[in-house]
Parts: sequence; C-alpha cells; structure tokens
Amino acid sequence: MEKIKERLKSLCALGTVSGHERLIDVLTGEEKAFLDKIEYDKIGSLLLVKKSNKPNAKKILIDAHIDIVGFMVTEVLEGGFLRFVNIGGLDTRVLPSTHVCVFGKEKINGVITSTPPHLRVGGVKVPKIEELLIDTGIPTDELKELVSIGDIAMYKPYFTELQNNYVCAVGLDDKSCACAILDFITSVDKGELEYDVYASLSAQEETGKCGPARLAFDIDPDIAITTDVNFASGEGIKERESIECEKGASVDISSLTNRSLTRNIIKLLKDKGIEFQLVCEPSYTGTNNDALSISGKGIRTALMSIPLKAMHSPSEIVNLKDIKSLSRMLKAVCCAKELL
Amino acid sequence: MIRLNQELKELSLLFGPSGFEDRVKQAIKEKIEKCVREDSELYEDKAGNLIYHIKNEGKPRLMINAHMDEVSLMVTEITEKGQLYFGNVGGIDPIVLSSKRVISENGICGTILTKPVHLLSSEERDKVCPVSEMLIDIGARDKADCEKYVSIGDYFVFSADYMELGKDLICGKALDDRLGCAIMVRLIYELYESKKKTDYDLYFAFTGREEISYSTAFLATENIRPDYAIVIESKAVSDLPDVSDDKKVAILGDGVIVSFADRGAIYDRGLINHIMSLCDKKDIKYQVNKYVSGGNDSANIQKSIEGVKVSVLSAGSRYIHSQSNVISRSDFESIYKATYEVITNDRIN
Repeated sequence: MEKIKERLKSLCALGTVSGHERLIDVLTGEEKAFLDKIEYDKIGSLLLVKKSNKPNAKKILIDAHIDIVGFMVTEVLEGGFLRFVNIGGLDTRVLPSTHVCVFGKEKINGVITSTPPHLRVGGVKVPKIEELLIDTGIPTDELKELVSIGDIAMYKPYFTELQNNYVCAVGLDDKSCACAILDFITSVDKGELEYDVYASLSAQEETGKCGPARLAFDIDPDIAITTDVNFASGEGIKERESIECEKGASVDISSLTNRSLTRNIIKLLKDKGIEFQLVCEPSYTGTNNDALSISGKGIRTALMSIPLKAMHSPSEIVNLKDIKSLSRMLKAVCCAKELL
Repeated sequence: MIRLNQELKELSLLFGPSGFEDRVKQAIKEKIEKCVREDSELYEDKAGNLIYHIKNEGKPRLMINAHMDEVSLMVTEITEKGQLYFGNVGGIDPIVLSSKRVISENGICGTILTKPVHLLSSEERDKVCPVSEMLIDIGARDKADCEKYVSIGDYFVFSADYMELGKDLICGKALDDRLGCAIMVRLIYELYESKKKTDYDLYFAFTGREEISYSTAFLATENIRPDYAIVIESKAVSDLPDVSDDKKVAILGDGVIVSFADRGAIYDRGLINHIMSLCDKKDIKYQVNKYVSGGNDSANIQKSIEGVKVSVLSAGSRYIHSQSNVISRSDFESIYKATYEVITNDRIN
C-alpha cells in the first residue's frame, strides 16, 4: 500500500490540466527498463507497452486518463488579478478562497477571490465563474511578464492522509486509475501475460475524450479496458448511481461496453475469488470507453471503476485499497486465457 | 521585521477556536515569559485572558488588545456512515467551506464533502449548500469507527497552508487575529530588550471568544480598567478590480487602516487624531477607512466599566474568515510601527 501511496502522491503533484499532459515522467529508470516501449502520441497521451512472451498474442489496450480539470487565464487585470475560464466540468461552489497554482513562465501561487458578506447584495449566492478572479499578489506589470492569456492553472496540489487508507488530494480523477495501471504494468511478469499490453495514460478526457481513440486506430487492439473513477456512495447520492468504497473496484455494465467480454470478465473474477462490485450505466458511461467502442476496426470494450468521493472538487477522496483492487483485476484480465 | 513575519506564521498555524484558545495562549506564554522583570508581570486572569503588564503606577492605563481565537467548526452529530455534521463557531460564509480541508483538535484530518458536480440538478448548482447540510469526511467507515477519532463537541479549524503571494502578500488561515497577537509579542520583546520607557501603565491583553461576540476582552477590560484601549485587528476589505471604489473599504499595501467607527462602536476621535499625527511625524503609512462595516472587540471594550476611549488599528484582509485570509506584509509592519510609536512617545493629551 505504501508503494501505491507514494506513486499516487507523485502523480497528483503533476500539473496535467487537459491539453497540458505532455512530458510527464511517471516511471523510474528501473521501471522503464521493464517495458518494451514508452512513447508520447501527438495529442499528449503516454503509451506504455509490455509484450507477452506468447507468440501471436492478441492486444489489449488499458486506458486511464491523466488529465485533470483546471483553469485557463483569459485576462491579466490591474492589482495582480487574473480572470479565468474553467477547463472541464467544475463546481463553482467550491472555488471561493481555494488555493491554485498558475503555470506562467514560472509557477505562481494564487487564491480564488470571494466577496465578503457585507458587500453582497441580496444574500449569499453561488458566484458565476466570470465573477471570480485569481489573486496572485504580484504587481500587474510584473504579472504581465510572467503570465499570458492561455496559460493554465490548477487547484494547488496537496496530499492529505485520512483514516483507514483514505487519501484526500487534487486530481484523483483519474490518477487513481493511472496509479493502478502503473502498479500492474510495472510488476506483472511477462511470462504470465496472455496479451500484449498497451497502457495509455490518455490526454484530454475531461474536455473531449479524444485521448485514446487515435491510439486505438494505430494499435487496433482486440480488447480495450477503460479505467476511470465512479461516484462513491454517500449522502444524497443514489445507491444505483454509485459504488461503495473499500469494496474493490467495479465492473461497469453498459450498452456501450461489450456484453460477452464484460460477462467473461465477471465470470473470471468470480472464479478467481477477486473482490469486485457491479454497477450499471445503461447508455453513456461518460468515460473514454464510449469513444473507444467506435474506434479502431471494432474493439471489444469493457469498463472498470474506482469509487471516488467529491469528484472534480479540490478535495477528492479515494481509498488506496480500491486502487490495489483495480491493479489486481487488471492483472487477472491480462493473464486470462479465454476472454474473447 | 523578518522575526515579526515568522511570528505570524508560527502563531497562525496554531489551533485556537473560540472557547479553546489554550494552545495559542500556551505558545504566546512560552514566547514572552522570559520578558518579565521587576517592573513587569505576566498573568492569566479568571476569564482566561493572558495579560502582560508593564507597571507604571499612577500613569493613565493603556490596554493593547488582540484576540487569540479563530473561526472554527464544532461537531454536532456523527452519522451512521461515519461522517460529521457541524455548526460554525463565528461567522463563516458557507460559500468558503465547500471542499476545504480541516483538522480537529486531535489532529484528525478531514475535508468538507461536496456532491459531485455531475450529479447536481441545475437548481442545486445555483444553490449555496447551508452549513447545516454540510458533512466532514475523515475517512471513517461507520459511526463506531468514526467515534474512535472524533467526539461530538470536537472543534475543527481550516488546515490550509501558509503561503506567500508575490512579494508583499501573505495568505493563511487565522491571520484574523494572530496578526494582532504576533505584533503584541514582538512589541513585548522590543520593549523588554531595548528597555525603552513608556509613559502609560501599559497592558497587553491576549483575549478570547472574539469571533462569537461574547468576548473575554470585556472581562479583561473590567479587570484592567484602562483609560484608553487600542484593538489590533484585521478588517474585511474587498479591493478587487470588479468592485467599485466606494465598496473596497481600504486597499492592501496602502498602510494601516485607521477607522472612525464600525457597526458596533464610534471610536474616540482624540485617540485617532493622536495616532494619525504620530504616523505623519514618523512617516508611517496609513489610510483612512472609507466604509463603515464589521465589528470587533472595540464595542465590548468601549462599553465596559464607566466607558473606555477606544480605537482600532487594522490590517486589511481579503477573504477574511476563510482558509485564505490575504494581508499585506507592509500593512502589518505599519501597525507594529504605529503601535510602537503610541506606546513610546509622549502621552495623548
């Protein structure tokens, strides 16, 4: 669990706001030597390949998106303030007084503004994003040198350990799954693999879900497993829309996932006695799975999820055991003989 | 001045909700107890205020006051799922609570949960979640598990980092009013080390419960019976580009804020004029407050005993009562200098 925690912590420190995922270095030299290929595609996705020893092995693509929601600077104002727009879906209710860092020529600390109660007309309201600013404390002339329109910003990264292996951090959507993939691919023995494994840490899921689709055309895998976070159950969230923390990752059933592949995965996990949950998303899944299901020459897709609390907030919460669970499920799948 | 800033950082990171200021008080006590000699004393009064007194019997009594407490949350219910309902202690805008990290008196970390934006109806997106419906999550599995770490009545405070914004601004929790505490601690050091004389019977009162109005500064005043009192505080300002000049209150970096009144008290004009003339003479940057708002211990102090001549020196703070109080270091230093001049110069006539 310690290894997963440290890996997750370093992933969460990366400023990979959608469109700015390039040049992420997520592996140690030793781990790199353990892989067959590491490359970035034109959009910014990172592809890691580990081939099976079996001749003519079929190909499996495993996807987690590495991008996170964030902000883009639209104007540098007097007094050291920046106007911004959101990148990806944000809840403006969490923004006032939140710490951010702005990626200008150098990394700059900032705080999102909030209006004090005595200056508000008509009681407390949810601010519109265009009413909020980033306060940098830097004199405007200097700020104009450092920050340009189009520069990005993110919630200031931090990593807090809660009780029972829960952690609270920025960007656990979907770095939790990226962490599970890296845990699996850097530890699995080639001799065990039934498939050539193509792992994609994909770009721009939060903004267009375009990351793995192009890869899928190049690789033309037989199977694609998308891994993403799903809503953890909790106050005000329907049981049927959510999965429970600490009960393992889930296999998601949807009309956009392949029926026979999903059934085979469920049977495999049951036979092997691996803990998992089931959740149903009847039509769209809102993940890269949907794009992958119409990519390549026709790929059989499946979806697995890790439960996450407070999705897209600066304080997302995940349980490390659920990450380990997904890593185990991925291993079971990639080492299974009869999935197709 | 580096030491003044370091003092603020140390004090602001301490845990000190209203009614449980003990840890802040203990830290201040440890810092200043070495400054006691035959002409001074350090004591805690029955109300829990920490008082440092420079004896000058027969001279008019001047009390400098700052409060040790900060806005906080108190746990009111532990749910079956092991999450915590809470009430706010002090005025916290619900809009600055969602998704913020908090820490309990026992060092248990948590965060104020938000429902995922994907699951919000359009009405919910536009509705501010009232504090009574917010929950703290500490990673507990259920009620029994949660009760191992937290009890009803436990306090939580913001646990945000202390950070610098540019070269002059500081962002942190509880700068209201640890900045006043830090200034008083450094003034006590300075007067002790320099052996500089004052012409007042001088009291520094570190008080509590300011954030919930029933402040112990009231009792400190009853005990000390000062002729004059100066409250060192932070003041909510809103000097943002989209706010009209008349609503900005004051400008960060333009110096210590001198006010004539707030929503609780009309300050003593003679004392204000005295402070402004000292600032003019010593070239200390100050600005006059342009908006009457807020309140602080000045009202409590003014109404004590047979009445006290009171004034407030404040540092402007953006986003006050949130995890991100933003103040200007130069304003903060100006308050220190102005207060020092009041103490060490000729008395007010």
